[in-house]
Amino acid sequence: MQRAASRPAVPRWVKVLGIVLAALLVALLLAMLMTGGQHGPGRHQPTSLGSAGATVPGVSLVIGIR
Amino acid sequence: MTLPPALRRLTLAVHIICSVSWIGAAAAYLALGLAAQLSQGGELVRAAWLAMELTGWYVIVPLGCLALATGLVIALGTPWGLVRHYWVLIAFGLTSLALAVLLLHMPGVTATAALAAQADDGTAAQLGGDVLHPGVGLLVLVFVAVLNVYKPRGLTGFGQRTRSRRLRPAADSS
Repeated sequence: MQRAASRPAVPRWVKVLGIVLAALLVALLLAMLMTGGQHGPGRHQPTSLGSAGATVPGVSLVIGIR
Repeated sequence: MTLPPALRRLTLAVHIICSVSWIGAAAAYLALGLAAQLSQGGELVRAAWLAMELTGWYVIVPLGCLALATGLVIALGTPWGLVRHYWVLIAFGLTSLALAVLLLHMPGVTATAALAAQADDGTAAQLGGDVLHPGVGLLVLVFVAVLNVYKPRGLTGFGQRTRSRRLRPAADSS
């Protein structure tokens, strides 16, 4: 009883927020796994740019067409 | 260390301006990302990506860095502290996370903008937009702003111990 009084409980809003953030993190990880980890800009790169441009997003895309 | 009142107000003013501007700039970025996502026109998609790159590097990134830096100064220079109250700790954590994701995301934006600048209209139209990152980022920033206004109660273990140490001498002397 004394121990409980000396260590204050975590507020309910912090617990709820923690649960919501954990759920969002799990959803994000699942979404990334299902899409192969491609979620940033360049994930919809056109295939007409050649094999390097079609498969590697990001900086390598620019190098691929130069 | 406690900030002098004049410096505290100046830092707070810069912090509020940067934080609110960051939300506005993120909303503008999201509008550009949505336009690029929904448009079939190569010219609009190209213009949107070029604008997103400029807005990202020259407006959003500096505002984010300034908002985080001034927030840190205010937290450490006032009795609020950085790890005494849950709301300060959570706001700091979420802001740091948002800034880290932004900094990791921007090189991809630069690459896509460079691609859009060189591609013909048909190719540019296939680039799509950028909605997920600015959308989630905007939600996080709005949540942090609400947290900063409401300041919900709750001391961390460290905050509780610090308060006990401050109150104990007063209790002992009475």
